[in-house]
Amino acid sequence: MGGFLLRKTGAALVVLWLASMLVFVGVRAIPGDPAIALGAENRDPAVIAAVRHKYLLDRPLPVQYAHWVWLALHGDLGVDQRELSVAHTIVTRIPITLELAILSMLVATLVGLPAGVIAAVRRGKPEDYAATTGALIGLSVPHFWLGLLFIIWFAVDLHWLPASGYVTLHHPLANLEHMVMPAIVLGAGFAAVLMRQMRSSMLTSLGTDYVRTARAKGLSEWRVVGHHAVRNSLITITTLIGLQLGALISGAVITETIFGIAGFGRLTIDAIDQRDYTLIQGVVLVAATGYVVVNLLVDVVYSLLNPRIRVS
Amino acid sequence: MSAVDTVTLTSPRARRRRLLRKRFLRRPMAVAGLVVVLAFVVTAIFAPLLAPYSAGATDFNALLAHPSAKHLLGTDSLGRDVLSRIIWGARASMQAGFFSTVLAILVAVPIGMIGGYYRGWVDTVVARVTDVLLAFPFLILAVGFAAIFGASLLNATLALGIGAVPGLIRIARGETLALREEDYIPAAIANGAGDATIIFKHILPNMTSTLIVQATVTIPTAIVGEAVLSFLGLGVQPPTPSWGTMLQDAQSYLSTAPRLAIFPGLAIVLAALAFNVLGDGLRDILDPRTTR
Repeated sequence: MGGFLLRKTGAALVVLWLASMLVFVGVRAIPGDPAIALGAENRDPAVIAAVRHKYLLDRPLPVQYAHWVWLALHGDLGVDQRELSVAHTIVTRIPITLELAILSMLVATLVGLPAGVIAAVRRGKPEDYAATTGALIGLSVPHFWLGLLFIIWFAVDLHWLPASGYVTLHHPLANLEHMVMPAIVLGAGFAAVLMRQMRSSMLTSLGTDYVRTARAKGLSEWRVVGHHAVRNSLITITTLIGLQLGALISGAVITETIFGIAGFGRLTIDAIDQRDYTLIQGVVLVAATGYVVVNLLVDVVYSLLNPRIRVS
Repeated sequence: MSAVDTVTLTSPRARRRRLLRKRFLRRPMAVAGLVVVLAFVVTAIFAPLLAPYSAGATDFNALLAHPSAKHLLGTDSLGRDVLSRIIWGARASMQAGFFSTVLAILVAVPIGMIGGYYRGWVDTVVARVTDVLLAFPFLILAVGFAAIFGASLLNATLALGIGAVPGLIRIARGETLALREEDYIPAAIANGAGDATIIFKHILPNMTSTLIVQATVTIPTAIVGEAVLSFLGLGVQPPTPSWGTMLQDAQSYLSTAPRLAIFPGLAIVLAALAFNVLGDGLRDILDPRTTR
């Protein structure tokens, strides 16, 4: 187990290191001189030279990169165009997106997993067709359109829910009111993916010898499905959740844009709109780190659930 | 080999083809998917002939008009015919869908195959690069791409293609790893085949069905992706019509003219659904592992 953990962590660190270089180079490929952007309205060559010196822009790229990584490792991602700490901005935005992500995962799990189990158990019956068709539609409907439809129905026509905005968790009810639509919109596609995966791994599990043994022992169908088939199918679902995180971040960008939520996703779009180099760098680095860390955790959990993996 | 090819109908390949066609035709959903997909392709190609109006034609006597005989799906805030714009918009969607997928396959398959075939350190490098690319959520990659190279349909297509590369590398690599172990590979080596012959003549043909299925599910993702990017202002630029830009315009009229948001969205859903249904059908008939 120790060797496995070490290998996985090593690989994750290599990925992070390469990703950080890609971010660094990518941001420098954006047209426009950051020194001029940072100097704001001031076009005085002396001011621009001073800015260039202050942000090390007059030094070779490897030096700039090393400096950036060194500070980032100490939690300092620099300051954005408005002289605000990038790290601080990101830290304030992440809980909002995290709440959205957790709520939408909750929606997806509550809908997708039972639907997948039912579809597999009742294979070929109307319940199966209903669930499979639902999943196909869920996969084909883009979130941002679903978001617009929800706003039209539930906010404009019915006046049930607010169309946009975010209220902090200090007002739990108002917060939930604002988050219901975004969570369902973001969760719908993921529910469809979960349902399909759950259905196919359940079908595999239901065909295995241990399920036949369990049935032969005279266990109730409820226990066979719940205790033996579902538990084994959940292993595959764990990996899926890690792989879906990237899609979840992309989805959060769109969902937050439509519902006017000032979260991490919205920050990404704003950073690029404003060509705020330090902010873009910080945001993308944090997103990539999150993805790598979650996938490392998924690998670890997966190996705990399925010991065969550790050997290979 | 070519001698076998010319003996039609009785050759195993022709028999397999006939079997596949029969299996395909037995799936009404897949056939329906194919019909709708073809309809969209034809619409995109023949948009100038099919659209009742040109995409930019404005009718200032009918701003935000309701659907009528003159404008079947109504008009937008500039009096442009919604149906015509949806028909023209199919071009951007189909272009983005097809070309990004072709690009992704052309880039990903050779890389994945090399990793899976040679294994060892080459494979490690391929696997790490794939992990790095996967660490960037597709949309952030696409948004960054638009920021660096500018927003246009071409750049959106390139970004969508690059976004699909890591997933396809993984699939091509996995398939190659599995196919490499087949008995016909040592047989080919014994016959004196070099690496290139084995990769292109023995492994590639055997993964085509997997690749076809992957392509049919990558295309709808790219179609939706194009709509998302255009919606965010990072893809097709107005006044060129695209379903995404139409939805962006519609955002300002959600309370007064919600239909502006509904019709282009339906077009996206229908196109994506058709490709997904077709992909599911193809997977069922082509992938022996799921054949029941």
